[in-house]
Amino acid sequence: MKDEHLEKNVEALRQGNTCAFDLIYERTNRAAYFTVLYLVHDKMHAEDILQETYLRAMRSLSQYRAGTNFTAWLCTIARSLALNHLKKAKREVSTDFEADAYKFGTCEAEIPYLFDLAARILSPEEYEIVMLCQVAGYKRREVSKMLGIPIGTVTWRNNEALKKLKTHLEEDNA
Amino acid sequence: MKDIRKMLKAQAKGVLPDEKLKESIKQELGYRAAEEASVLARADGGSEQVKSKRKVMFPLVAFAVILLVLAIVLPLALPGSSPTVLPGGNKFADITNADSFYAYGAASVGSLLASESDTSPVRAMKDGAAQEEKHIETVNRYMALVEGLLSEDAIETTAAEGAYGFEYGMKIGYTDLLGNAAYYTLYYNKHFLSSEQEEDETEEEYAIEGVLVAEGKTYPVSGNYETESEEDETEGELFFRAYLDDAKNSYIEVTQEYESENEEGDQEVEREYVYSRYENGKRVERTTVEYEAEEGELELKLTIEQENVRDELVFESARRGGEMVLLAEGKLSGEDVRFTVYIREGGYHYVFEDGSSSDHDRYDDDHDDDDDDDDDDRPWRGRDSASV
Repeated sequence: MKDEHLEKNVEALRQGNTCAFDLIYERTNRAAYFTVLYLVHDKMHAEDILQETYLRAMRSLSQYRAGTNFTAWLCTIARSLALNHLKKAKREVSTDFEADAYKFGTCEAEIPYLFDLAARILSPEEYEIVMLCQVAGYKRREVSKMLGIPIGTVTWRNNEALKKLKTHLEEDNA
Repeated sequence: MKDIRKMLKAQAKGVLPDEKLKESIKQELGYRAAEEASVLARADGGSEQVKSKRKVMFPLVAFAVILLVLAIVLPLALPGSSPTVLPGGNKFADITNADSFYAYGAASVGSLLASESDTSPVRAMKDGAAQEEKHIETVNRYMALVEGLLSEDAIETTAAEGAYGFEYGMKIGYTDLLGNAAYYTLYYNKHFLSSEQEEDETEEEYAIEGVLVAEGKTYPVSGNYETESEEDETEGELFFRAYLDDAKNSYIEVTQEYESENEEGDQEVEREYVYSRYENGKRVERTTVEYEAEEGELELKLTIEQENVRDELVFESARRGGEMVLLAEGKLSGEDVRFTVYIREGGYHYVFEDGSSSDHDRYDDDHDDDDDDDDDDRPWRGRDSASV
């Protein structure tokens, strides 16, 4: 289940081979991104936080325990940064309603309704899996490896998430 | 559920992170500068390892694409007067009789022929690099076939008027992974071998001779469809062949290796298609194509044998950042490889594990079998003009 190739590249990067970053990014960015998007519901902020996630992670790569699960470690950093962002946003009193519209609900969410709905009604695990399988285009096998969970669990959560979305959309239409 | 999947996929581009983000991160981390320094070092006579690896990957990818296109086109070729649509997914499952076999043969061999004419020759270079380049060119010839075989879109065949002195005609259409349609036409005579009445349907087995019109060129073809069933086992001699010279010593052939066994009530069917290339009567390349279902997801396995080298690649289609890609994994010259092929209009963009990338022409222009190409100098052309 472990992504040995990813681990190999993480080790290579740790040894100073910066070319390894491309593969690491390709293999992990979607998982980290959806972890953030689930919390912040805003594409622009999610991208900023994703960037910060990689900067933090790469600069503290020595803290990663080799052979555990790099994607999970990265997602922990991403989640932590996203939560910090939300806390900070909550504390801030904005005077610029246009710039901070996402905080005040004064404009349409930047992400499409279905994605917003998914972030509201699905569990973090279901959301991440359905996004990776249906939006990012990964095979269930790849997602299983990426998240370190059995493929049966991926399939089940993916189907559950789709069912929930369908039910809610039907209710909305009704 | 299907609608939800479609909606998510359709809106993916507006949600997924900007592709430029990676470069921005690399810039911040100082990796970009390190890479530029590395490129400069190579330009100064340093290692060409990255470049050569890319060359190896490229032929394989191209080979896979060709195979995919062939697989899509062939199943469409031989239906009756009304259009026949074969469902997407595992195309082999739809090859159930002589018509569908010849359609598949015509489509897959046609796409190989068309791709072949686009392949640029191996350039003069050092021995090692030339060998790798050769690998890439080989793979490139099969990329269209791979694309076709992994496409989810249906293959269609429509009966056409006979031409070139042949009684029957069949137009085969397929859609590649980007949704573009391609067409080949087969004109042929049937040589009846046997028939079997099953309820209201008559299953005929027959051999053919005729011509295949692919990308404005005509190729003499022959084929055989003959099966034998004995108790629980089914075997047969099935081939479709397109000739490359007048003497018929050089040709591309597809054969079906098919075995069906019924053990204790369990029907087990193994089927693969083998593409062989003969030059002056000698086989110079043998490629086996078979589907593999991994956790319900369809993959295509190619095994390419040339001289003493055996390469294996497994392809599956996926989407990355809103783009259609082929993910490839396997062995090239004994070396483990893994790469992603971005399928774009006009070209294939290969991204390799080491972060290097390469671009190559994609067989996707003028998917038409109108043979009005006045520049064609093949000796077997010129009997009639075929317009379909």
